Amino acid sequence: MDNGVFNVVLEYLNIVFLVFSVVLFTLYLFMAYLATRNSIHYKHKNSFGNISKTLGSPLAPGITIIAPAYNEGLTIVENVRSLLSLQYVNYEVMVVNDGSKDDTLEKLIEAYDLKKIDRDIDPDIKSKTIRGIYKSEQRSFAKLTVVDKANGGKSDALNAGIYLSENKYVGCIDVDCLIVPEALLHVVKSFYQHSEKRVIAVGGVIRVANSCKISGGTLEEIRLPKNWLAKFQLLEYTRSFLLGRMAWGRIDSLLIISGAFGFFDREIALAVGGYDTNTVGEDMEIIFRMRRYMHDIDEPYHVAYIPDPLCWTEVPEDLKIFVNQRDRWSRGNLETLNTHKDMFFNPKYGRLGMLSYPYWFFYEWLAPLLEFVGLLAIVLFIYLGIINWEFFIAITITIYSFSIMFSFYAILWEVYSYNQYSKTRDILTLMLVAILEPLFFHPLVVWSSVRGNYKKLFKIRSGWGSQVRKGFAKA
Amino acid sequence: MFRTELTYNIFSLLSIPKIHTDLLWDLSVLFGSLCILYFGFIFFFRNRLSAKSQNISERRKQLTPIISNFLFHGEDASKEEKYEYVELKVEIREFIKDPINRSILKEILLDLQRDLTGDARRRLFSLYKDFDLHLDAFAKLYSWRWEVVTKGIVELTQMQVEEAYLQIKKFINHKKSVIRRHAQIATVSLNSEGIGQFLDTTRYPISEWQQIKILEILRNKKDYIPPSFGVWLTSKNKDVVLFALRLIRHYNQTDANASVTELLKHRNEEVKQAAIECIKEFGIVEAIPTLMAAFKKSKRDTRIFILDAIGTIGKEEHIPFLLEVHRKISNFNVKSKALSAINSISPETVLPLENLDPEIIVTKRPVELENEEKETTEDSESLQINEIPSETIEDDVVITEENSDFFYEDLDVFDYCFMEELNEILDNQKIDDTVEVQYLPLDFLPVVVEKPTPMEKKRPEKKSKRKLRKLKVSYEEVHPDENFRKELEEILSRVEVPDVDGNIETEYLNFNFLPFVIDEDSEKQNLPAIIRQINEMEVDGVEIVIPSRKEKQQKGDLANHEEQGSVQVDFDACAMVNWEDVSYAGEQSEATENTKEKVVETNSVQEQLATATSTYGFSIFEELFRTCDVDSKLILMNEILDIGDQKELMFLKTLDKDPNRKVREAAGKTAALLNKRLSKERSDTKEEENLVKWVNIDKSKGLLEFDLDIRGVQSENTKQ
Repeated sequence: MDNGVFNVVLEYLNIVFLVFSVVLFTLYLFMAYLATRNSIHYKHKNSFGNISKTLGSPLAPGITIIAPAYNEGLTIVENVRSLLSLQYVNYEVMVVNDGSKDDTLEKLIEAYDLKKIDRDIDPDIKSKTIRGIYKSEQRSFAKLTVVDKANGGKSDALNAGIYLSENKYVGCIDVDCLIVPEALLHVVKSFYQHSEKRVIAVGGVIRVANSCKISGGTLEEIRLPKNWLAKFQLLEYTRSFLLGRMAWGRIDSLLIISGAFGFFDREIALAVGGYDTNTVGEDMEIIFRMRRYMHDIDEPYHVAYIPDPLCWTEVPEDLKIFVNQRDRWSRGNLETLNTHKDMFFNPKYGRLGMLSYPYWFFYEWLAPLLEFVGLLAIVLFIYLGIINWEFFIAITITIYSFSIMFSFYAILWEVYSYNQYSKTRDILTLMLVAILEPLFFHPLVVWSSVRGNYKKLFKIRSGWGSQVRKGFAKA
Repeated sequence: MFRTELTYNIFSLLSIPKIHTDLLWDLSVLFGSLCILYFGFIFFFRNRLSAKSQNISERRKQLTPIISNFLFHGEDASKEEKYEYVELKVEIREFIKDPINRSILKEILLDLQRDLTGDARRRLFSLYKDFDLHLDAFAKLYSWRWEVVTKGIVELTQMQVEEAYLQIKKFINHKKSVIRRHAQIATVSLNSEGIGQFLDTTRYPISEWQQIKILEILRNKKDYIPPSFGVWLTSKNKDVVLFALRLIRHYNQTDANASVTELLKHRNEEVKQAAIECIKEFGIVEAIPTLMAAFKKSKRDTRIFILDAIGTIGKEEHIPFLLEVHRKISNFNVKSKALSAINSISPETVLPLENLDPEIIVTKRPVELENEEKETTEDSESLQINEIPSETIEDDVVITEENSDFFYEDLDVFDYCFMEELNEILDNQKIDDTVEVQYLPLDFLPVVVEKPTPMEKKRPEKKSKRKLRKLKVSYEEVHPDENFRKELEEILSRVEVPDVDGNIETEYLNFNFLPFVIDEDSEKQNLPAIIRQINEMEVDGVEIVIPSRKEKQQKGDLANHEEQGSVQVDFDACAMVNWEDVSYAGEQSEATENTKEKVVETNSVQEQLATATSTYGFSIFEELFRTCDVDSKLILMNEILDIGDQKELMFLKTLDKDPNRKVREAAGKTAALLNKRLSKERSDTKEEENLVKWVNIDKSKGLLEFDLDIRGVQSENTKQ
């Protein structure tokens, strides 16, 4: 090997890593600052008034909660019951049975006394064939609509729901999520409190419900998950939602709204054609398109983010399922970024093109790949015997301590703002998780991401995968 | 000095950026230190939060019973209770000198106001002011921090401090949106004219959320008479127009129909939609041409709104327009709406055409054909019957489970007429027993036409209601026997109501509400003698029981005694009375004259005793004054003025020598005012004495009867 060329490559690789790391550190610190400011502002702003007073207002807008269900026969009845007990005056629960192979539909029909209704359906609806629409004959379940359609995936089911809904706003959720009773009030407030900008979408925090005590569809006791993989994910979610999204929300550059709890202005969602059924990252992709649409029609808009814990979900506790999930996320990431590549450093899209997209490109998609390359380089250097151990250890410890510091900061904000894990033991456990995460959990995330990108680049067929739900712990 | 190094041992040709290893170590130390710092902060915050919540809950426990004492303290409480009340107030004043306690008390009061109503709520508000907590809130309005100002506004609004209105309304156009929003809410909440002030002066957009909140405040106002919101439809602020439209719709104000119609030309789709909602709700038929004109330039959702409105209030002459929309517009939802509007105006105009199997051909069997021929003549008759103008059909009375609540009055009128006529018929029935009755003559039944109110006249009927318009009453041949009435009721109560699918369902009306009518003369004779007596009795007078007046009179007596300064306490008299006997005797109607005297004697002794203690005893305020500061003393003076009497007057005189000038002056003023009040009370009591005469203390009744017009009573008695 020509030493000269090899050295030049190594040198420039070094520069790339240096710049990348410095920008990453700076961005993280900036995000922490923005998130702090936003949290304090939010806390002050929402300490006044009683949101429930507006519960029965005649001006309250209609919301349709769309819950796609595929082979959810085991828990569907209970989950729908929980959705029907939300505190809001004007909402509809639309369960879209996405061609389940089990008895999901039969259970719903039996439990809620459903009858097929006649309704004209737009033949141009962009979804698989709709086999029937069911409504309950009982007044107590009047809010429930069940749509039975041929299997087409989550996006397809959500599209059917968006098209069939007649309300101003639609909420796309996972049917197995636990939504707190006052969630819709917060959502409506977020949609309605901006007068100068049109709020096109509202997203919220997703909290980890593993090991929590649930009774009658309500959260009775918040507990730390017993499973270590779930604990790692809990810390990751806390960091991501309390710092990451809070910061992006502050500068109105949020590019993703979680698929488990996302609400949209139906008119805009329809204008962009609903969810893209050709991607597995549909929740991110629709936001990209909605934002682009608003830029194109030159109408002021806002994507709102609610930091209050309104939605609780079960995260995978099985390693294989977890890797599949992250694999899917990275594929979705790549697909979305590729679809909207013309936005990259495009000043036409303002902050979106100049800041959000590049960040997403470098630090959400590229970072795990670079980390993987870095690891390979270390192995290569060791093999070649050219590793500078002192420097290697120093930089590893720097990054490691930064990572722990950032996680500790997230825990600090969790305690300061919501204090949901108030037991000393829980906090200490979370701190231990923060210390262990870079060593055990992060490599898994990197590996899943590399796998997903590999599959996508080499067009290895892969779909959504499946997740076996354990169900919430009953009180 | 930093040593510069790389991840690999260098042997390169090009110069590369140097990374100082020492810098990395320093950064590691910095991040490690921050970790430790955050670790400390996490537990510091956590402990502080839990300690604070524990502290607050403990203090709350202390304060809550005291507050509830205040809230449920009645105006007519005894003197002792009033003293206790004042004592508590002083205690709390001391307690809230600590800022934490003060804020906790504030929190408690703010929490409580959400759950209380009526008197207790009013007392809570006055308590808030009594403790000068509103002054704290006023002070917050001058803070430079937006959250503090907002907190002040929210507090003053929630505690209904109406004096704050003028100060708060200045913030309506504040540049900070949070302050602005809360100031707007306060303006509307604190003053009934506030909504007008707000809509007149607001320059900023009004968010939908803000509109919801303001409407909620207006809805919760008692006896609120809304202004005519039509005047704000000309506002330059688009949101004011939008909000005014919504308020017009909410309060059913039909005095601005022309302006509402004009707003269909507005450029903003939301305004248009709100106007369409009003037009639909109020049934403004004159607006239909404008609706049709606005259709072309509207967006999809607004178009659907327009079609819906035309479907609701339109007539057959508008169907061509709807057909044209259906033909020309490509959007499925708009097309569907156009069809449904046509069917709303003229049902079954458009029949299903899509996805019909052409192979299904209805063939008629010979028997059916025969029946059809037979029915032809009948059909021609029924056709004549069906040729009723649509207006007449709409005016039919509908009795359905859903809407029966809306015309109870009509039903009452119907019931009344029905029973009257039914009784007449039943009477005739008895007389003409020989006549064979084939059909129940139901022609007496009044033709009840729904009389819509002016508002309802304009408002179109709901589609669902229309389907259930025809009420069919089935009746059968009735024979005059003993159970005639029962049978008749049973038959009449059976009502056939067509359901949505056109099937006939039989329902039974409840006739239990009908009055049980009897022949007065005949029944009277059958009544027991005692009831007849009661009926024949005439009411000679009215019993009035006013214990407070009695108390006042007794007070007046005491005051007289005090005035005379000749109170002698006969302690022996107390000793001589057998209290058990007295109380027993007082309760028994067979009490002897002697016992009565004892009671009178006892009462007078008690009065004398009370007077003596009040004259020679010390005021409870003396004790309070000894321990409290100047401010509290001044507040206590106000309390003395309200509840004090002679002994407080004496006590106030002793304050002449108080070292503090303010106290001396206040004591002088309070003493003068108290003296004035007491004199007035004494003169009132004297007047009452002249007016009130005890008459016929009937032992059996045990209640007091008196008449306020002494002359009238005397003359009446004399006559009797």
